[in-house]
Amino acid sequence: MINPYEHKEAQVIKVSDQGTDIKSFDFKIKDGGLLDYTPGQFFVFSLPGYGESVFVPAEKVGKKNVYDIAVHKLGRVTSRFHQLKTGDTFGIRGPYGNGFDLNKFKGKNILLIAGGIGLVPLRCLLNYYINRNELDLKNRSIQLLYGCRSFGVMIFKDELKKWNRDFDIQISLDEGDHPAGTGMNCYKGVITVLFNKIDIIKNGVAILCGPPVIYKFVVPEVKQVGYNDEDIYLSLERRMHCAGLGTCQHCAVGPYYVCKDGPVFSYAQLKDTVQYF
Amino acid sequence: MTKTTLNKFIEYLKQTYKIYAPVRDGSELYVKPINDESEIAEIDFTNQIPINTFKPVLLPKRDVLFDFKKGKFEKKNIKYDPECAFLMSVMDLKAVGLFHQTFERDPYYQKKRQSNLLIGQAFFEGTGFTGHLRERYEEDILEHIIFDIMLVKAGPNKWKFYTGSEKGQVILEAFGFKDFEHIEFAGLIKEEGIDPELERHRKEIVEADNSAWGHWGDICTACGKCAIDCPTCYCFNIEDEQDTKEKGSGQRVRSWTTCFYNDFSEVGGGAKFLKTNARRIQNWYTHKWVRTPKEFQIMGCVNCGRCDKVCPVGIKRADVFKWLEEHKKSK
Ligand SMILES: Cc1cc2nc3c(=O)[nH]c(=O)nc-3n(C[C@H](O)[C@H](O)[C@H](O)COP(=O)(O)OP(=O)(O)OC[C@H]3O[C@@H](n4cnc5c(N)ncnc54)[C@H](O)[C@@H]3O)c2cc1C
Ligand code: SF4
Ligand code: SF4
Ligand code: FES
Repeated sequence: MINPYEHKEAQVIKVSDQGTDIKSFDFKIKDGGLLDYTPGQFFVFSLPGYGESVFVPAEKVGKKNVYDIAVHKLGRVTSRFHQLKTGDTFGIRGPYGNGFDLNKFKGKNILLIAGGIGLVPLRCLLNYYINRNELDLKNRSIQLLYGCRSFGVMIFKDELKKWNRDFDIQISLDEGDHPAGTGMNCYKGVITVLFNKIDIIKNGVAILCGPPVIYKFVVPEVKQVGYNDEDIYLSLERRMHCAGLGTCQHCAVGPYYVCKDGPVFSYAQLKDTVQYF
Repeated sequence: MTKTTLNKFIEYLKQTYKIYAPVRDGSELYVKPINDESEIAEIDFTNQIPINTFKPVLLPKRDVLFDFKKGKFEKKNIKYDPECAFLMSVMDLKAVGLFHQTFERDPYYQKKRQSNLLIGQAFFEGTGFTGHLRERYEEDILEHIIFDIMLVKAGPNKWKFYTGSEKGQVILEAFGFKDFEHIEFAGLIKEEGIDPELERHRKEIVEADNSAWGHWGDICTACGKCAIDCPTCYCFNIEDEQDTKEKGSGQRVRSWTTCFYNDFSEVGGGAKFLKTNARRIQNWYTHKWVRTPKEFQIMGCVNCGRCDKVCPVGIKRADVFKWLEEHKKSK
């Protein structure tokens, strides 16, 4: 019987600072293997003596077999991750969860809404499209609304600048400390301010990921723009221990397990479920 | 089999297995390890439901998933000492059915199951059922539960033997006892499907709004006793423990927890999704009566009554369901 708790070994090939307390790690699988996943799925990362943590890796643009994760330093495992250097190894098992239903996104406008580190799964989707030439901007619009506490905690700034040449990016910073020269539109305030200031794309799907408060306050705004409950997707974060096997119960939300039935849910699935934010 | 032969059989099992069986302590039974002859004599055959469960025989309270040395995991050869759960009730064996589904792909559970021996006891109509919480089963229940050997009370000092696995057959034959009947397992769900009363409870939970649980959240102390003693609860943590003596060595450990505990839903940064006792008790009921039937088409409660009995503040399932129903009507 396969032991689902066993993992493959991966090796760090580059470490970059992404913002306050956030580092990204480029890595490859040690036996040269590929990570086979659908954007939005997650993997479980393991450091012996520290434990396991759940992150969403993304393919690097234009590089085969190289992936990266952004890790926000918050506790035992993530602090240990921040000590890793080029050449160090860690364990990885997965993929788990459902990921985005890419068929439903085909040919449709995509409104991406991220808060803080919640940009990670949305970037995973964008990199996936970019590597396959599937952004499809001739036939549809993509717009990214990105809310952060301050400019310092914004992640993947270089990529944001690049994307900004191809599609619309709008940023809100709670502290309004936007330095000149980034070329991106930026507003002071929490992410909901964007809904009063700019034209939000319509007639498509909306994908949200961020801290719980953004679901509470942003979903009503997105509905106001005209999105149906079925076309609003939320990627949820919950504590995980079995992380993907649907047994330990830590990630349960009403009738669902985030690690197995999610992490991506439509708002239609969740709206009657109490504990989702 | 008579009581004298039965005692010899237990002695025989003791050569291979560490035995756990119900023993009386005052008015209650507790599952305890049976070490010697005097303890064999103390085994209680009344079929009263013990306060604690046989769960550790299926899912250890603390189980090592991996060892690591010098910062590297070692290949795990999963192994357990043989343990025997002796005199499990039909309800507890129904709970084993749920564990089998939940841990179907878990090599630790499967190895543990291979190494253990599950012996049940059932009382059917007219055979002098004396246990509290009388739950009357027809004999055909034996086709729908998982066991190795089943003792069915056949008279004041007599038991009829059934086997539910090849292992059970082999053991009885090796002991020199051949007068048993073998039962072919026919799946967990009885032909008539899920009990309609439990189905009604499921609906009550699905339809109850948030505010309905506030009342129970005010009473519940989130002590977790109901979950620890419930035969169908299996929440666990997985954490790494480091050796204090040898740097870089230690173990990845899976251990019991309950969904009532304060940090159960806490994520990095400190946010909690089951913040109040109301959300916790709601989640506990939702697991048993909504998530489990959704996933496995069986109920997550086997009606053993332990939770009603051990709750220090007197919360009982029947009262909760009645209250949910009335709360809905009053809205
Ligand atoms: C689907 C999903 C995707 C995620 N993607 C990313 C990502 O790409 N980048 C990133 O930085 N963070 C991500 N997170 C959050 C990240 O998993 C946690 O912040 C991290 O596990 C905290 O671990 P810790 O040991 O440092 O914290 P501690 O607080 O020390 O953790 C203690 C225990 O709780 C568990 N735990 C704590 N918080 C979480 C959590 N939020 N989710 C799951 N388990 C948790 C840990 O596994 C550990 O067992 C994601 C979470 C989920 C559910
Ligand atoms: S009666 Fe209570 S303790 Fe027994 S199975 Fe049902 S919920 Fe668990
Ligand atoms: S035993 Fe009673 S008080 Fe304790 S957690 Fe269960 S319902 Fe709450
Ligand atoms: S993380 Fe264990 S059930 Fe989802």
